Amino acid sequence: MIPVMPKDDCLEAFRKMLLIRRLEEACIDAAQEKRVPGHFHVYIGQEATGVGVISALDKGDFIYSTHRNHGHLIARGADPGMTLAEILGKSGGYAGGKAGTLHGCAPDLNFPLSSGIVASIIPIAAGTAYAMKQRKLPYVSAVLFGEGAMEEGAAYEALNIASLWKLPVLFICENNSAEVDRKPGGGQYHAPNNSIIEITDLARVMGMTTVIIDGLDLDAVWTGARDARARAIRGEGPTFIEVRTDTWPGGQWPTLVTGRTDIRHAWTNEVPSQYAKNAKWFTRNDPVLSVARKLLMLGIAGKEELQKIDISVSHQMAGAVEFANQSPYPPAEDAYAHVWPT
Amino acid sequence: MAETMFGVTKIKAVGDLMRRDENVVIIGGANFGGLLHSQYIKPLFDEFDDRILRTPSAELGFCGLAVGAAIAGLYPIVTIGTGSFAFEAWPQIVNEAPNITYMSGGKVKVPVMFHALVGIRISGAAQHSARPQAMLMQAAGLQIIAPSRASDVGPLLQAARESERPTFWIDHALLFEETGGVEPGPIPALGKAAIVRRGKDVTLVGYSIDLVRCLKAAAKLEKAGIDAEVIDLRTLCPLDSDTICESVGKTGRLVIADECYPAASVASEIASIFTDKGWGLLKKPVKRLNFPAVPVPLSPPLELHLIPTVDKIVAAAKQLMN
Repeated sequence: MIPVMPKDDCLEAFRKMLLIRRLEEACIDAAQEKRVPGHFHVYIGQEATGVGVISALDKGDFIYSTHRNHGHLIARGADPGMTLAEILGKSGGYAGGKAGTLHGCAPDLNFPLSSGIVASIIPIAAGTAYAMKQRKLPYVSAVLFGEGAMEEGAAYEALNIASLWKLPVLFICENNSAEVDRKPGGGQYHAPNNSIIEITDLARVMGMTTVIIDGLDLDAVWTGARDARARAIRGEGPTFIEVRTDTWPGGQWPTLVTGRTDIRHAWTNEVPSQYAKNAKWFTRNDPVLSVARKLLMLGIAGKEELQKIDISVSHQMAGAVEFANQSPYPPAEDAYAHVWPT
Repeated sequence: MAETMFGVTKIKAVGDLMRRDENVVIIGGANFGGLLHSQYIKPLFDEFDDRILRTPSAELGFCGLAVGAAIAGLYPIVTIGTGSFAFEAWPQIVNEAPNITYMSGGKVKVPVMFHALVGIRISGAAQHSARPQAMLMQAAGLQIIAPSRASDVGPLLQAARESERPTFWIDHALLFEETGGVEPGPIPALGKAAIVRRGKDVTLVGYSIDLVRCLKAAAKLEKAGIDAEVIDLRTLCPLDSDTICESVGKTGRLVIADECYPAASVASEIASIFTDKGWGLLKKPVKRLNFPAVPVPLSPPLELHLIPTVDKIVAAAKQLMN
């Protein structure tokens, strides 16, 4: 990590990454008690991406996401209590329990929508960029999606239109299958189900600026998004950023296979024996621990400061869990409200 | 009252709206659907060149683009082209646009209008003749407007804009050539049908081109001594069951003309009113005139055999009177 981000921004970004981790731990706790309706997707392992990108944006910019949106909401400054309440289908959530985990939103923060259909959100984000350009507003639209979205036709159509009209949009592809093995007949490294070898190839041949960034490198993600935003504002069109992370070993139906994050592991490098089979996670792949180690190494923060941040975040999350748990389910008549705008 | 072609009125209404409201833009390369009508559309496209996004043939992409533009302050009118092309954009039209306001607890509005020139347009064959409106009625949160009379076009367009609802506007390919009186009327409440001809013997219900056919049938029936009441639905969602019940309460007989396929159609939805709210109002069974459940054939005699023609409406009404 080259220390480009200002110190305070680094610490705030780390705080948000940790808050995301604590939120996902709370989600898994709730799921184990069978209190999460439906299926959900955690953001563990990708915290540096969402936080890095969204920290580089302006308040007037728009953000769109997919089914894996919890981290993006927190990175944007969404209230963790309201976020968790929404995930649990409670009335205190951002959409009063109608959206749940798949359609997380925080409209007051210009985060209007997450689509549960992986590529469907990409043309919508490009459309918001078109509105920014047409209305001559100095803002961009950023959309975060997984590499699976690149398997759907909507992605191609949206990239083509955005490139044709140089729309101010940031396409952030979070490739969390970066280490998936080649499958016979099933595509290649970095893009296991795409015939293109690199995910960025498609955008590149369309004439877009493309960037590939290591998803453990908060500073590189932040810098990449900042530069992409500046190009978009200058009228140079969209940037396609692929951020590579490894899939968190927690799998589709998560249990905390990597354990509850203990920030002290950043400097003890201790791997709890029960999680030895995920040792690589502790030593290399965990973005929260990785960023903590870099903050220590660069002297941006000391152990005590990191522990203080952890205590503060854990305290905040405890309050959020309490809020979400106490929030009532919506009354039945709410089912009929908000079909139409008022 | 001036006699004006429906298509000309339509283009004028869009231009009027764009002059009044700078946030209205046109997205799509389909020129409101008709190559035949490009001469009427060209002046509009010349006037608003910088507010028209002439997109690639990417219905899924540009319908999604319109949804995102609507969220961020524009009012896009999306010219999809023929109704069959709407299927290319189905995920955005039925799975994104109508859900977003609800999924945000009412906080996000999606004021977008999808426009298609639907229907049996004469020799469009199987893949350019779709009537997607009945399927669209299954998308909760999507408003469906399907006018038949030129005088309704401007007011309904304004009402749709003011409603800020995601809207699918159905025009019929053959309707563009129809002429009718245009006088500026009040802005109708969306979801209010119009009784366009008063009568006491039988109720004919239609919308878009089928309403034109109902009116022509009513004129023929008059000559046969049958006094038909004709109802123009104007909007399919919301659907005005009150006006239909009121009319059938008077006539006791109902003919519905609807180019959709019979199952789960506009006609079947209207007929179902009389199993519940309208129970007991009918003197005779409901006559539903749909396009039979076969793909649309190219050959004109085959196609003509299948559509709900004026003669079929007349015959159905006469049967009910016997």
